[in-house]
Amino acid sequence: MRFRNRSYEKVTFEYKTENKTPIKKVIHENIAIIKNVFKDCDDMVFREFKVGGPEGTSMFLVYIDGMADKLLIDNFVMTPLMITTRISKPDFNEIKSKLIEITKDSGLPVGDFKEFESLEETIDFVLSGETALLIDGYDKVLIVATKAWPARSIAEPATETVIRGSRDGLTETLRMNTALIRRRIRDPAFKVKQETIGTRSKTDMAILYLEDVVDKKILDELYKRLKDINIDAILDSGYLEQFVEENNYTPFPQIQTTERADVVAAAIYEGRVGIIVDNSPFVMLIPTTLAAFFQSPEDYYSRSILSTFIRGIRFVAGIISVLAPAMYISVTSFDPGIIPSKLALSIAAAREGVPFPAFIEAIIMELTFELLREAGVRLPRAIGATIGIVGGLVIGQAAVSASIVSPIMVIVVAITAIAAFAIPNYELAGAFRLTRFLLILASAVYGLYGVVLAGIGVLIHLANIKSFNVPYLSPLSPFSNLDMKDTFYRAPWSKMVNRPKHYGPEDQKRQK
Amino acid sequence: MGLKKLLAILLFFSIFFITGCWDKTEIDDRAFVLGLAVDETDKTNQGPAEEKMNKLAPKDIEATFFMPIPSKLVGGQVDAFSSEKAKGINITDAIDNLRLNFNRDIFLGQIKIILIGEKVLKDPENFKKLLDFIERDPDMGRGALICAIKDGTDKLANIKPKFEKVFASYMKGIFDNASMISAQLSLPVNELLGEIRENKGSAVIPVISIEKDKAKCDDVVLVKNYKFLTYLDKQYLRPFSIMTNKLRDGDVQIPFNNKIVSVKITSCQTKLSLADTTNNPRYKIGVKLEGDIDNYSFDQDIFTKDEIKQISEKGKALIEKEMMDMIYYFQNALGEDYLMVGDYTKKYHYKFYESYSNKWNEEFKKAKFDMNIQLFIRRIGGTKK
Repeated sequence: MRFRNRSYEKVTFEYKTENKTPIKKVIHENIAIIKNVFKDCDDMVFREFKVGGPEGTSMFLVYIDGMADKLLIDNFVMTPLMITTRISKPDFNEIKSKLIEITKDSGLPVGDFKEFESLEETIDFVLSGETALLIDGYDKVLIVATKAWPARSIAEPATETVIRGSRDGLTETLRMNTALIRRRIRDPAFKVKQETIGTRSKTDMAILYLEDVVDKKILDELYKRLKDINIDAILDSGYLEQFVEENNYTPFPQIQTTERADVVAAAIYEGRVGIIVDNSPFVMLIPTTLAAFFQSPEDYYSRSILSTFIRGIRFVAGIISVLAPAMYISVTSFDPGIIPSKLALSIAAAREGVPFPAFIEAIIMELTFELLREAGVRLPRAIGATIGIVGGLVIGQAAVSASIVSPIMVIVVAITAIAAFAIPNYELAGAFRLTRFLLILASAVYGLYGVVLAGIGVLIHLANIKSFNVPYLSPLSPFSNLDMKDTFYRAPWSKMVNRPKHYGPEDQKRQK
Repeated sequence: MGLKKLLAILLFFSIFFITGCWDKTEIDDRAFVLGLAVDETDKTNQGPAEEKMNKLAPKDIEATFFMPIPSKLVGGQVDAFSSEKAKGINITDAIDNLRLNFNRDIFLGQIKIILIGEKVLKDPENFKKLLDFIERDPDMGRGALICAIKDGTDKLANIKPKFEKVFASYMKGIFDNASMISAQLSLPVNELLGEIRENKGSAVIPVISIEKDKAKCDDVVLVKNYKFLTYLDKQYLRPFSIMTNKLRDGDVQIPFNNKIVSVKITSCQTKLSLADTTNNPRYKIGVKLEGDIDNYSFDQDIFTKDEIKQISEKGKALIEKEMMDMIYYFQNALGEDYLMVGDYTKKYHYKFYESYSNKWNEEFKKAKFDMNIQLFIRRIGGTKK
């Protein structure tokens, strides 16, 4: 009753992360400030209580409902403070004078708690799911690690499925992800440097690397770029990717992302850097080369001959997905002399009655396919199959029967689509899709000459891209014979003695 | 904007004027010429307006274009090709004239076979016009086979293709088959252009003759100074192929134990070398033949090394005689070096060749040839003992 009637000094606190407002000794001043800061935040739990009975010391507990582990708070914070102090020896009155020390040293049976001195830090921790414990007469706050929010459990990754290899995919929870990776790298040199980013979202992120392997220049460059970011929220690693990549205006991804813990671990062992962003199951890997996008984790688990063959297929698929429609247009509209005569005649026969030139035909089909693909992604899984039937009928049957497109064009588009799906990385497949349209345009204007011209243009562009100062086309340009062991073919593990040179690892040997 | 950027942009836009959409002809708007037959004909226009032109080109060229009709071809109909005739001063003119009454774009990029009428071969001017067109046209398929037709191209209309819907494919098929058994040479356009330029108008061109509705191809014509010289006797064809390293396959009939053994040649390598240049040039011809026994007699077996050796010795002697006869024919009866001996000497012994370059044929006549023929019989086939 006494407290309620008491008038407190006026609250003049304004929350800014960079400030450091000291915690007051009088607990009610702190409570007033915190309650004011979290005004209208109905998911907050404020708990004022007394240790040692009605005349005991005031304490204040604050946490966010749903983000903190209630059971842990009740059993290991509240119970010792409120009950154990009263029922067990020594008596509260005996320890009253040393309550703060006893609370810190022997009162709270929790594994992880820290002390802080400012109100801003208190608020930040509470926002990230920890529980703050304020004690009357003490100008520090005890932060109890109670983070426990609803999280998706570990499941098989949706994008990078493998036949042979681990099935545990990364999740949205940073700590779970670091644990999955740490399981694979039990080395004290493996560092997990955590930071928060986003002025309002305060998203946790972690930078992972092997200290004695990673190229320090890459780390320095990364920190430099992270420092320049000043955005209110980072909701996904995709946000961060666009901030730290070199060139925003290219369709080609300069940072590899993966949903697989084993891929992250393998990259870190190669001397690369992993960046985890909380709330995103996609971990970024830097630096990245074009060749890295053609690698699948399975390559390293199955026999090298088989892996080499499959990798070769992927490269061929890449070329087909970029070139096939453009080549078809060049051949049919400009240079039918370069294909076998029987094929030329079949194409000519198939095209008879088609009202559009090959270019328009290709554009119609490619756009229809893009529409189908996009619609398929958006549709609920149950209806997803329908789009396949509709698409198959529309493209495969009706368009040909109606003589809008020739059957050979359907084959070309189908092969292109299949080839695009054979590229392991979704983002690179997307880049190839855009390049394909460029080449289609070039072939429509100049035929084969245009395809070659645009192809050279794309190659020059690729040669110009860098990912954290590593040339995108390495190890092909600049050429590194040693790194060929894991580019077009995958040498047996016993032969891959060195780490890829183009990532600039400080410790080059991985087999002594 | 920097000068460099401006220059780059100008350079980029300049490519728009080099080529572009206006070169585009959709594949279904083209007429694929798979076969081209060229013959000579009298002038149609003899009026005073054409007098000057007629003086320069007294005879017209008549070209027949054999073109498949794609829809019929795929639809499985017979007569899936059309043959269109056109006349003109040269092929280009003939194509232009054809365009006047033809609805598609003539496309020569898929051409498979070029047939030359005897009259064209006998008229160097028209023959040179034809060769020039073949060489100059960028679209012309360089792998097309070239051959002459005994008499004229008129008879081509009588030919009824078998197993093929397209005339040109039929002709090419006959050709491939004949050259497979060494009854004929296979001469792609590019090879002829190279040879004839190198040898200043001399070439050996395969010939097709037409009997009723069938085409037969077992002759060869010799051309000198871009003009028909003579037909080569059939007996010289195989040794000629061996000499010029063009033999691909074919059976040699060898008498053995009063019967005939057929030995199928599977590989042939001929190496010419200049052995001696004092007095008259002396050449060594090394021929390495490999073959299998293809046919003999059911009641006879060949199992022992000795027998095989005997057969190969007899085969060697047979081929050696053929070769010597052929060389004798070219040296003495014709007096012309069609055997690429001069070509070899020029390439590998230029100093020696240089002194005779103007009168090489005289030197060729005096040349001596030593034969070293090896015939290995590798397989004897399946037989029971």
